[in-house]
This record gives sequence, structure tokens and C-alpha cells, in this order.
Amino acid sequence: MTEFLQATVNGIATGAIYGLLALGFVIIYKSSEVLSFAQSGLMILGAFWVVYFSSVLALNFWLAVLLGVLLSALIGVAIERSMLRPMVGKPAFSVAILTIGLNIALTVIGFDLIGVEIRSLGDPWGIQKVEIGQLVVSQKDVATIVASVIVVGALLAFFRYSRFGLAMRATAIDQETALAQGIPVARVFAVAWAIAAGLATIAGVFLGAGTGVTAAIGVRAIRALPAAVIGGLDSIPGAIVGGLIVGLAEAYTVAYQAEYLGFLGQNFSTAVAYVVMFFVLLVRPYGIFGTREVVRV
Amino acid sequence: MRRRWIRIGALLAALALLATACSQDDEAETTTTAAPATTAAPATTTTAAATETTAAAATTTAAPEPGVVFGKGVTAEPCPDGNPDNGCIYLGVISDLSDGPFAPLAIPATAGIVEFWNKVNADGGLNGFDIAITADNTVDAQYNPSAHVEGYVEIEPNILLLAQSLGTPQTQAALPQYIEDNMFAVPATWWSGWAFPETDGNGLVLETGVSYCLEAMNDVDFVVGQLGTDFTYAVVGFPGDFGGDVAAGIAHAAGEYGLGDPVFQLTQVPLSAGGDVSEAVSQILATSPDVVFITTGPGELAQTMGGVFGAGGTALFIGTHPSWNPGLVAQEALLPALQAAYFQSGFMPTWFGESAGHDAARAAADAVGQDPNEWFLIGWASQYVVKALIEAGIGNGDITREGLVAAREQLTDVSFDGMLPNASYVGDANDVAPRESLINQVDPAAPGGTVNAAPMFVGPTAAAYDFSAPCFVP
Repeated sequence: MTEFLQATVNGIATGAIYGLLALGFVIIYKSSEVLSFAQSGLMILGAFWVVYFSSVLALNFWLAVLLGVLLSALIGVAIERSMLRPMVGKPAFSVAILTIGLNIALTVIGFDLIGVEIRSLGDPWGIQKVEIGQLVVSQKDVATIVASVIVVGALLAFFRYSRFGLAMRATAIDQETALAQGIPVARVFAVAWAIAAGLATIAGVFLGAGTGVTAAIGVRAIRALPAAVIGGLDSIPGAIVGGLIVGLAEAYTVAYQAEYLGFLGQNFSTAVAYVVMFFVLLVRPYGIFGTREVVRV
Repeated sequence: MRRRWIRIGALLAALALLATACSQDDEAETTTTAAPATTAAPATTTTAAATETTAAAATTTAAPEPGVVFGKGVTAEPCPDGNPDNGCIYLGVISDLSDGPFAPLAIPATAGIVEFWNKVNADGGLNGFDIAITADNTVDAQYNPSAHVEGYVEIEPNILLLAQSLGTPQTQAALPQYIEDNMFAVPATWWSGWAFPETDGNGLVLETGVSYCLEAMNDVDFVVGQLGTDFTYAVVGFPGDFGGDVAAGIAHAAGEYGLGDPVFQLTQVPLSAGGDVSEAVSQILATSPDVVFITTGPGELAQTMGGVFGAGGTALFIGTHPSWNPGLVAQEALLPALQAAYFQSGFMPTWFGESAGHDAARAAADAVGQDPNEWFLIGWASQYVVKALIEAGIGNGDITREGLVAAREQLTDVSFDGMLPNASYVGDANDVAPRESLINQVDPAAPGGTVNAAPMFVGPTAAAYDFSAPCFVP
């Protein structure tokens, strides 16, 4: 039972990181109908800013995170204004390809900035642990879960209670109607990219906390895409649930697969997100919470 | 439309400026990032010379050394910035200089190689020839066998031999070409197969130092010396020769001591290839081995130890030499665990090793602002055999590639200026292959981050091992 609970906690912490990244996918998709593949690039770059502020400029860690998130958000806005805005009205396929290219560019810049070393974030958790009964949980995992709850809660409150959040929801439902109602749709697109970039930065911080940031964290971030697809590309709760499903699936695979499904070989946990996505899409092609697309023939 | 392009241009320019500014700050912080600059430095004025080399493919007997025959990769004209009266021998490097699991090690190692030859040139060169490693002849293959082979094909006409060929799968992928071209290569890989003519292109691969396999046997000997034979162990390693060779060495030693099977043995996919250490962490926590023999890069080591100790686990980690990088000292959170529970095996005495070679390497590193790094020393030491080979070729009056193949038979007592025991490259592997390794432990106050815990030794298992075939064949 302890092993199961331990795996569950690990899975929730990992799933929370995937959830934050998947939220970025979903917020951009919902607001602008752009399927962005640039989240991992934004995450690498965002994690670097935090490393830069905390380790190179020796700022307080929390201030470094705040500045990193803000700078990433600005970059997100700049990307939207300069590269995505001109693509409004262009085929979704072209825009998606553009974001793939954008991801490559951001990743290359991030690799160059981070370099080949392991870069320290200067986070306060390190590899310290807390004991809850028989469970031993790393402080980083606890912090990841708590921070994700706070961030997601704040986002949900923003969408529900703030004027601009409501405007974003209205835009997500129908852009033309929103525009007719005086909602600044262009600004909505920019804010969506800013939020996505900020979320990616927070995810990068928790991926690199404790043992440091390497350029390789971007590879891990790619697994957030199945999380977004599983939850449904246009569902904010779906992104969270999708992230948790992927995180838990990985954790349980790590814990039990060797014992019960050894024939699948080692390191199967790195592929399980895609297996889950495959089966979910077989049953629900639009994801668990995704909106079914109705086409009038 | 025009405004759009202006906006895109402005964004790219801003990002580039930001990246440049931050990179410059980083260089002040970490020395390893400065290494490529050193590597590239000779290239600033060498493009023309390198092109000229390509043209000089045909064998010739022109100056500077009358009677010395040379061909591809050698010119009578001086090297860029070289001694004006000397000819030039061009060497190539194929390494991981920006990405790949071993880039943190490969960069200082490559810097060590470049500085070794800069020192040789500063001392007057090799009997009328300077040595040049130019950016044109340096390939950043990013641990990708295809890029390695493609890069090799590109630089082959320009070089006499490869001063570095990083990675076993990569070197193996290019070996048929090396054989076809009579191309000697210094491997930045310590697969046991490089000791055998059937698997190293009849001696074209010129390795320096003990193989992973024999090093692993010494590691087990060391642990047995510390803990006796009553301990459990696990083996975590990269796929392929690196992990495989170590695992084979551990298995042999475990058999000799009757340690039994490992509690688990896991192939760890490199993080840069999409791997994830959670399986290693989970299995270590679940099976609680006393000792983990880990054969990965520094990133995987850090995350695995962080995961285990962060979840309340503990184990003694013994890492083969590429598992360590001085950058790990900066991981303050991990440092106590590294100090308490990590030993690194290797074959190169630490930064303050006492030898003429160490003195020269340290002076060269100081001169270029290279921080203490074991891999700089390893790169430096790996070139003594090349120097001996070229000197033998010049002595024979033939530094064509074919001439060097003949000269190899004279490498019976290669000196490393005391950095390593003298070595022979001629004879049966069982008689001549190095078997000595050492054990280091982490000390953040020490240059390079490690101090010696057990000086060079050959454990009883490695000493008695019948080294008549590669321990592991990928």
C-alpha cells in the first residue's frame, strides 16, 4: 500500500507539471484556435531566465521566478504579435507548422543559453524530504503540487471573475461575436500566449528544482502534449486531468510494470503517455473533456 | 506585409541580442563554455589553409623535411599562426561540443587536446612540422552516429588523423571508413574492444587508459575492500558499450567474489534522448541496494541521486569516470549526498597530480583561463600516443597515413610524461592493455571538485582477468 501511495504522490507531482504545460496548449488553442507546439521551447527558455536571475544575478529565488515568468510572458506576447498575428485567418495546418519551427528556434536559443552544464536554480527545496506517516515525499514534489493548485486556482478565478478573463472565455466561444461585442480579441490572443509562456516557465522551474536544469528538460516537456490531447484540447479542466492521468500512468508504470508486465521491457514509462493517448482517442476522439465538433453536411 | 517582416526581424534581433548578452555573462561564470572558443580560436585565420590542405591530397616529398614523405592532411606550408619554417599537420576532432550526454566532458577534453598541440607548436613543433586543429576540421556530432560519419567524410581529405573520435557507437559506425582511409583515431570512449585488432581496425584506434570493463572490476574490488562481500548491488547504465562494458566487468568481478546477481540491472536512456531517471530511482528505493554502480552522464547521476536521497533512500554510488563533472559541485542541494555517498572511478590522477605532464597541462590551462577539470587532463594525455606515432613516422621518413600504419609497430613504450604509466600499443591485449584505475571522492574545495580516495591500483580481479576478447560486444 505504501508503494502505491508513494507512486500516487510521485505521479500527482509529475502530472501537475504536465498539467501546467498542457494548460498552456489549451489556453492558446481555446483563445486563438492555434495548436501550439512551442511549449517545450518556451519552457527551456523560461527555466533559463530563472537560472539567470537566481544563479547568475544572485537574486532571491522567488524574485527570480517572478521575473522569469514576467520576462517569459513578454516574450510570449512578442511572439504572438510578430509571428502569430500575421497568420490570423491562415490555415490551421500552416500555423501549427509555424509553431513547430518556433519551438525549434526557441529550443536552440535555450540550449545555447543553458549550455552543456547542469545549471542550478537555487531553489529552497533541494533534495530535502518530508515524512507523512510511512510516506517519504520530497519537498520539491509537495511544492510542485501546492504551487500547481495555487496557479490553477488563480487561473480559474481569473477566467471566472475578472473582466478580461470573461472576455477570453467569450472569445473562446466565438471570436466574431466577441469582436462585435467590443472585446479586444487581438489582446486576448496576446494574453493567452503570455499566460502559456508563464505556465511553461513555472513547469520548467519544478522540472529542474533540486537537481538542476539541463537543456534536456525540453524532451520531457513533449509528454505534456499527450496530456493536453487526453484531456481535450479545448478544456482547461481537461488539461489538468490529462496531466494527472499521464503523470499517474508513468508513476504506476515505473512502480509496477517491471513486476507484472516485464515483457514490455525497460523504460516503458517514457512511452506510456502515448499508449494512454491512443486508447483515450479510440474511445473519445476529442479527449475526455474535449468539445465534440459538429459539422453540418 | 513589410511591417510584419520588420516586426519579425526586430523580435529575432532582440532575442539574439539577449542571448548574446546572457551568454557572455555565462562565460564569465563557467569555464567549460569558454572551451569551444579555445577550440575554434585557431580557425580564425585558417580557412584558406584548410582548403589548401584539401588540394594537397597527393603524396609529395616537398619541404620542410627533405626525405619525409607526406600526403593527405599535411602541407609543406606553415600552419596558420604557426612556425614559419615548419610544415603543417592537420588533425581532426569529432566530438560533442554543444549537445549530447557527454558534451560537458567533451568540451574541456577537446580544449585539452588543442592546448597540448599548442604547447608542442610553441616548443618548436615536431621535427619540422606544426600541428593544427582548425574549426573546419572540428565536427560537433552531438553524439549522433550519422552526424559523426557525415562529419568524418567531410573532413577526411583535410586531415592526417583524428585527434578525437567520441563515442563507441559513433566510432564503430565510422570504423569501416577509417579502415578504408587508414585513418588513426583517438577514441573518447573506453570500450574494451579497442584493445583488439579485430574490433579496432587493426590498431587504428589509439586508446589511452584503462577500459570501462577493467575499471569496473577495480570498482568492485574497491567496494569489496570497503564493505567485504556481504552487500547487495544494482547496476544502472547507458545502453550500448558504455553501460554494457561496465556491466560485464561488474558481472565478472561479482562472480569471482560470489556476490550473486544484482538486485536489478537497468538500462538508463540518456536524458537528452528522452530518458527519465524515475525508473532507476523507483527501483533503487524499492530494492534498497547497498551499492549502485552507475554508468551514465553527470545529469543522470545528479537526478538519480537527487531522486533517491530526496525520497529518503540511500545507497553508495560508484560512478565510472564519465559520470562526474565539476559542474556538479555547484548543485548545493545535492552536494552533501555526493560527498557522503558517491565515488568516481577513473584513470587520471586529479588536477593536482604530480607529474611533468600535469605541470604542463596545468600551465597551459592557466594560460587560457581553463578552470581545473579532469577532462582537460584526459584530453591532453590522450595526445601523447599521437605525438609518439607522428614522431615515429617522421623518424621513418614517412608521415603518409600508410607510413603511420607502419610506424605504429614502434609504439612499444609510449610516455605520458608521468600522467599515466608508460604504455605499449604493440602486442597481445592481455599483456599490454592498461589495468590501473583509481577512485576519487567529491571535495568541493578541491580544484576539479574531487580528491583521490584510492590511488592508481590494479585490483586482484582485474589483475587475474584473462583479457583475450572484448568484455562486451554491442
